[in-house]
Amino acid sequence: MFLTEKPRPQGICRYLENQAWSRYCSPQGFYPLALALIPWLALSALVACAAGLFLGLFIAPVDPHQREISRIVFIHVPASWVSMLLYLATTATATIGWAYNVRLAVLAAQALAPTGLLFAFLVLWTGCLWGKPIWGDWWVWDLRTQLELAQAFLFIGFIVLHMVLENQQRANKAGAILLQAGVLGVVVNFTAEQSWTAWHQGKHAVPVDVSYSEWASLLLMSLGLLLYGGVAVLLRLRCVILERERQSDWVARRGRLLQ
Amino acid sequence: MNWHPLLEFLQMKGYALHVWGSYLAVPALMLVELMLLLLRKREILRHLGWRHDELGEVDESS
Repeated sequence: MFLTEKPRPQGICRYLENQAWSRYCSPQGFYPLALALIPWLALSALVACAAGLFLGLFIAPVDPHQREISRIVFIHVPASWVSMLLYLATTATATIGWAYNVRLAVLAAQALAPTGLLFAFLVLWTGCLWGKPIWGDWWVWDLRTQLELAQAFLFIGFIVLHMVLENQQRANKAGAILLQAGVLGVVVNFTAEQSWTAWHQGKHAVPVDVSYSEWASLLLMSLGLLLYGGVAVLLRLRCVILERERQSDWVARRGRLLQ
Repeated sequence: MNWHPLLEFLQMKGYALHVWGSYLAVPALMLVELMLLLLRKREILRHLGWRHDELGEVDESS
């Protein structure tokens, strides 16, 4: 009796296979879930951004040295945090998709990268606008601006690889390796904030106590931008899934149900 | 009505271009991204011959 039984997956694989949510790990299962999540994420993003903007523009005190220009911090820093998070998420999904051949992870990486690029651009744009009155120049080649610029170029490289290479597996493998090369830069960029010597406001930076309202504004704006990122990524993921899976049975079945 | 505080707030003590240029760029680019995504979706649906893409409670994965 025992010899006729098929070998069953053990350990973590067996656990994951038996979970109810595991069906959402396929493009087919995730597609309707994404649609259900989008309105809730969009509403939460609006509320968080509205609260963060109110605190940042009306409640939080201005920096005594930089004055009103310091209010850019409430858009620049959250955009920077979100761009770093999206970079790490793109790297993680591309790596999982490559290493474990998870189709949804490969598609998710493709959906994450353009939004990550958008946030990297916003960081550079707001940084330039902040830099002109503080540094006297739109652009300064310091450590953190270079790292952010490199991050934007790595996102562009990943997107271009997927556009150029026909073979999706090869494109994802090359993209994952490319993004992994920049992970250390993201870590350095994030931790550089803790070090005054690397902080890119330089001599204009003064170690002031950050008030609760400033922290609340920064965190709410970060949450709002992250939730917006979630909406954009889910919308794009649904597009990518349909584009890549248009020949599959479930897309055809869905088409019949819609008619 | 006294508009002075509002104007002062909008002028940001001479940094209006920098502050509002930063704050307005974010929703502007977000709207552009969302519009491009909706156009892409519409193009895909047109290509597939679907008029819409909402099945309500139907779960085709089961």
